[in-house]
Amino acid sequence: MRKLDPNTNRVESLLREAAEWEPETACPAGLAERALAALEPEGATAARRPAVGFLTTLMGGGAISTALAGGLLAVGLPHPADPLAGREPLPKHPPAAQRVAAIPVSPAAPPARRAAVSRRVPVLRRARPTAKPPTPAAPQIASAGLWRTEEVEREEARVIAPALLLQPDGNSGELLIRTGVIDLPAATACRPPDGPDGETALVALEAAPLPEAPAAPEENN
Amino acid sequence: MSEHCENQADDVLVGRALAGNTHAFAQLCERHRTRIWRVANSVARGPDAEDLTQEVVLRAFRALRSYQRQAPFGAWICRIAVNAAHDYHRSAWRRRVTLMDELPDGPDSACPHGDVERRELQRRVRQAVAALPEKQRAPIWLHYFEGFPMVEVARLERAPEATVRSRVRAGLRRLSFSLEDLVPAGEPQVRLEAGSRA
Repeated sequence: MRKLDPNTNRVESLLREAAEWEPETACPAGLAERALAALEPEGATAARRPAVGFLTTLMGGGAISTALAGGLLAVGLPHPADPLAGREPLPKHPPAAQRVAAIPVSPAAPPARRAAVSRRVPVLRRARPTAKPPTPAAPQIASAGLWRTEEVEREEARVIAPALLLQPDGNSGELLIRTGVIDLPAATACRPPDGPDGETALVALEAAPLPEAPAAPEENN
Repeated sequence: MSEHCENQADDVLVGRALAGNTHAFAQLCERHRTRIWRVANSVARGPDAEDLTQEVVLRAFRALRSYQRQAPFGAWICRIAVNAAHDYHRSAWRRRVTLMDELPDGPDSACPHGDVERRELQRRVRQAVAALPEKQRAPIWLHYFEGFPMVEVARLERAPEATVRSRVRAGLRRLSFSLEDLVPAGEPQVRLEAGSRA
């Protein structure tokens, strides 16, 4: 058997005190019958509070009037100012036989269904333009031009980090572990400029005459 | 003896209600209306308490088919009332403000200030019980407030009596936290289990 701690005993005494509590007012008679009356069909809208009853009636009336208005709109009565008001409503679309008969028949004319299809085709073509294969760039150098070399340089972020290097000894051939620093190129977000870094690129010049001092690589270095 | 007769009368009315007699069910609720009203008034006042009482009646009417007459009808409907009180207590629609003219009056108004305080304290304890988790709420309410023996509570809960007692203990521990300001903080106790060595 477990032993309750003093806190639990105190809670128990509080509960026993609270058991003596009685409500200030007596229960009004007929509450149960009123509640059950709401379940019956004729009392389905009976509310327990006048305000709720008023709101229920208001919302019910609103729903009925909305439904009536929707029904009238669906019937499509013409406005009294409409010149066609009061007349027999004309069918908006003629019967299918009349539509077929209305198509002018000529020996050269395609059938109606094919005509409809042919009308759709340009629309589809407009909606889905076919992707053309990329055309190769036109050669910029049309003739034997003049060439010069140019060094392309690009700044690059690098990470220099300490590392343990495993290298074979030159004399004995044994593997030696040495401390060192490695230099790693870091990824950069920006796009590098045209041309590979540090390489010599051939830049074509238009058929313009070379400048007098064409030693461009030496100038860059 | 009279309790047994009451239970028999309840059983007869329950049978009629199950046969579709709404009036018999209304009679049943009228017999236990004081009990329902006490639960409803513990968490609500005035018109809200009336609404809550009617809500309990409707819930009981809808759930009447699930009543297996193993426990007294009073305990069963009281459990529904406690659960409805719990839902009301947590509801966002609950009134947060009590108007001055809704404060208790009548015989209590002539009571000294301490009596009003005591009543409010008792009400707060009842509300704390109504806020407990479902498995602890009804057993504590039915046993401590309505005086049902633990055996009947266990029958109503369809659980072994030891399980229900364990739930009650857990609920008491939880109440000692929620009513912390009313329960003086004691020193940590060493709990002696059966068979354990001192």
